[in-house]
Amino acid sequence: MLFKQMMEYVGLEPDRLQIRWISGSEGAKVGEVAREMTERIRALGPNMKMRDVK
Amino acid sequence: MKAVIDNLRREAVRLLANDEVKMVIGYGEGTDASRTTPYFASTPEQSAAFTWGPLCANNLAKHLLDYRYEDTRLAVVVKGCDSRGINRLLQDLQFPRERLVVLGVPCGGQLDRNLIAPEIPPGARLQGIEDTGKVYVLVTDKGRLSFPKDRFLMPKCYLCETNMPVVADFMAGDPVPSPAREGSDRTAEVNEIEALDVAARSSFWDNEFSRCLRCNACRNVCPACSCKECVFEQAVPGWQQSGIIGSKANSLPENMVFHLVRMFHVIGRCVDCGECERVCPVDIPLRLLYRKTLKDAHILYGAGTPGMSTEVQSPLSEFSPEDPEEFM
Repeated sequence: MLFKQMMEYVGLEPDRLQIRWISGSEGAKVGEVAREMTERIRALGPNMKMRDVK
Repeated sequence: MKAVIDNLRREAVRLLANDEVKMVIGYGEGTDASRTTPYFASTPEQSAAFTWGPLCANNLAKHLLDYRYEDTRLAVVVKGCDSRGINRLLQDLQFPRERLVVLGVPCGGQLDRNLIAPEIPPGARLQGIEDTGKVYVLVTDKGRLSFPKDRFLMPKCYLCETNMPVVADFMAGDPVPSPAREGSDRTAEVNEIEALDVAARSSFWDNEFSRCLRCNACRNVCPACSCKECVFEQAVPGWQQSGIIGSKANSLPENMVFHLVRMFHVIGRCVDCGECERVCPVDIPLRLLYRKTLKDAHILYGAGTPGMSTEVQSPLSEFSPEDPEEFM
């Protein structure tokens, strides 16, 4: 949460960072969270601000 | 101020003469009238060169780390803000308390070198400093120079939290009034940035970070940065990286990564001594970054300024069931 607020502070979209606690027995939840995340990132579009990071 | 210097020298002489410590780290006369320099005395005779006053901005706590793997006892001179750094190093087990003697000095505020240097005639030699309460008078061989405290102090001093050391084995003087301004709000400048819209915030920090040379001065002076091997140097030293990968202009995102990572690493350990901002060769407002994390850690975890005592744990090193947890 602190990191998200830091990202927001320097002008990055905090939605690009997601942290989830998923147990080893929750395979379906991994898929679900990844799908959600992908959709959200697609909506945000490419991260032009950080494109040169190697 | 004279009395404080005399007390300090006397105590340094006593510690060294009785072999209670191997070295005393304090302030010595600087190369010009506007500054002092860290001074390391290891014999009683050298202690005569110690000084103290409103030109002692350096936080000497960091020097302890150079001696952390030795077995000698050291004494170090600290102001109020520096003493929080001492507490943090003790708490992180970076330096054993039993090898440390803390010499505290009462601080009525430090003069901002950037503001006073232009007022000092070139080549002037400092002969003494007087504190009249509202004004510091620098007595030089080219005249007496007055610096009112309400205009010439470092910005951090107007927000001072502890102008007397929070930890000290010896106090060199009686308490003096704090230079903090009545009713000053420590989060005011952070709030201003937060109030900007995303594009304005983004371009503000792009402008600041684009100047970053990645010289690592902020890290090297920081009492919160105590790692023997820094994450930024695990592959190639930072100042070489930008040379290899591309021009400085192209490495703006890299600079942003550097500052974000450093920002995250010092949460709960940054004591807000402001040394990073003072040493930055390109004047990036670094305290504005770290004060943001101080503010958020306070809001999210109720954390106070780190280093006020060695009893309180840093917010990221302890767990409480009440912690906010949006990631579950």
